[in-house]
Amino acid sequence: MIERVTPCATVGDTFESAFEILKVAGRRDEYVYRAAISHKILMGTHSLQSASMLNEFRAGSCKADLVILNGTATVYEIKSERDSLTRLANQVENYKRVFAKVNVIAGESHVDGVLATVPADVGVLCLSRRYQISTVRDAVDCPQRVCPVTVFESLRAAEAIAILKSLGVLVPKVPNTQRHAALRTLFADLDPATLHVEMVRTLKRTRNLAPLGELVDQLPNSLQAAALSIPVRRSDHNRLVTAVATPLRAAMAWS
Amino acid sequence: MYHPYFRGKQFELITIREMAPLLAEKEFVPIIEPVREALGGLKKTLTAVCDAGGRAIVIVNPYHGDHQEDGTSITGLLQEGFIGNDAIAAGILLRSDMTVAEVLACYADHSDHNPVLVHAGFTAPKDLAAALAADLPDMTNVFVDDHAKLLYRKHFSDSDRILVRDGFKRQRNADYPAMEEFSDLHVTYADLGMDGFGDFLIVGDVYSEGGGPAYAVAIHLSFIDPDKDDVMYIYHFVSDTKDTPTDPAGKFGQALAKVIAKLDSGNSKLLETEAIKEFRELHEKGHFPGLGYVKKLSMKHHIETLADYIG
Repeated sequence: MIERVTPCATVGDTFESAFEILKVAGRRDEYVYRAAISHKILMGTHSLQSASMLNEFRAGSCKADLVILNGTATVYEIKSERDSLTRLANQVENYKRVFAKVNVIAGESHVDGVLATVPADVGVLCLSRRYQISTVRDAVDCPQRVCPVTVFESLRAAEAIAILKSLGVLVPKVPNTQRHAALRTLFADLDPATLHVEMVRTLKRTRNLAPLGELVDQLPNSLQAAALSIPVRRSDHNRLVTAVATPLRAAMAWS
Repeated sequence: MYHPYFRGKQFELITIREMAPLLAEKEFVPIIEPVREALGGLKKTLTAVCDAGGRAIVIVNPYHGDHQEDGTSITGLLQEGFIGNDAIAAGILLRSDMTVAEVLACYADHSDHNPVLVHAGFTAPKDLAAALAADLPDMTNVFVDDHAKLLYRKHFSDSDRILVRDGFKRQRNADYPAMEEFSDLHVTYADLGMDGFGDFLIVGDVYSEGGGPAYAVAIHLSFIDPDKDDVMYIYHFVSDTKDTPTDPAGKFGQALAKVIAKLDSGNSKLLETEAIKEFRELHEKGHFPGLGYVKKLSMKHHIETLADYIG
């Protein structure tokens, strides 16, 4: 591929070329799906100002690939053509305990298999050969089915405390070795739907992506999903942008 | 005498700093392999060692961590702050990929810092010993046991020889047995013709960067058993909860409760060290001070236990 790029191509151009290769149906891996959701749903339908996104977010015994928070929390399980569907039923069961809406996004070859595997309240999306997302079936928005204890186990301690406080629940002062157990007990008594609303509100604040907007705008499309999911120190943003704009020939001489 | 071998992560350096007076009093000489790019913590630690009247060996060509490619900043630190100072020696790590010429060059570069050779995989002991023959009587050679066996060590018999053995069998926290043998080197080193001994404390020779969340929390505590010829053993107190990555504080509480139960059983053979006092206080308060701090207390207990044994 490096031989194919033109003499004046930048590092960023090279990532774009690589992404064009990966985008072809049959070769697409999880990142292509992640990029499609980031562009077409997070930044397309919503915006970084109004919505946020979580990557690899723990939910029960699984980790959710991608969660988008706007008015509700929607999880997207990615099943690229390179993935198998063996874990899907269990994953979906775990996600329903934390998120109001559960979606599976798959390539055309997987759609029938997904429909046969997941229950009717789970949404199914298809990433077409032409890199378009189409809705095969809408997800049911059902916040009352979440399990408060499973939600609690997914959160950071500070987030759990913030949620309890905003719900008016008194958080007792206990030694830190007992704190987790104490918070867990308090969560167990919460109303699922009320908790879900507050969880979305809190996570949108604690996992806010708006500060990344400027960085994302300066990166080529192929790298934007990565910029939203891989933490880069604020002080390194400019270095990253500069590196991406460097001619490839110069970059290849880096040690 | 005793040479605890530390990788210079944050809590290792803090341990050396806080233990500097005891280390100096017992003439224990820590070996420090700096693994972090920033050298501020190392400098503070070496200053504490010097202020306490102790000694330390600093590896100038670390094999692990940020200085793997280039250790010149460590050499720079020694030359700036610790020149003409007999307390701080430059340690040269001899790995399998080094030639005799490279070792000698590094040795010459650090001639003003009492260079100590740390043998850890080097393959030409005979040639090296011949080249250093004139210096050997005044030198210290440190051998990491897995890499430098009896015949290898013989070449350096004119020098002070220290044998370092990794007594800690590192595994996943959840998999540790309740108790196992650690080492008898503190009893046998003289019989092996050595002038001192060392270990990798309760951390082990295996190096890892931080790592992910702990599924289980383990507290490692060493003890010397007078009923078993003073062999050192180690208890592993592991939390009961070990199937989620959450709640390290609660898991620490579980592991600590096991420590206290063992101590209060009256037959633990654990020495009531300053570190154990702190574990008792944490238990009373129900406080988890962080995993790094817990590791520090275990290392402190280990050093205090050996200090008591050597007397």
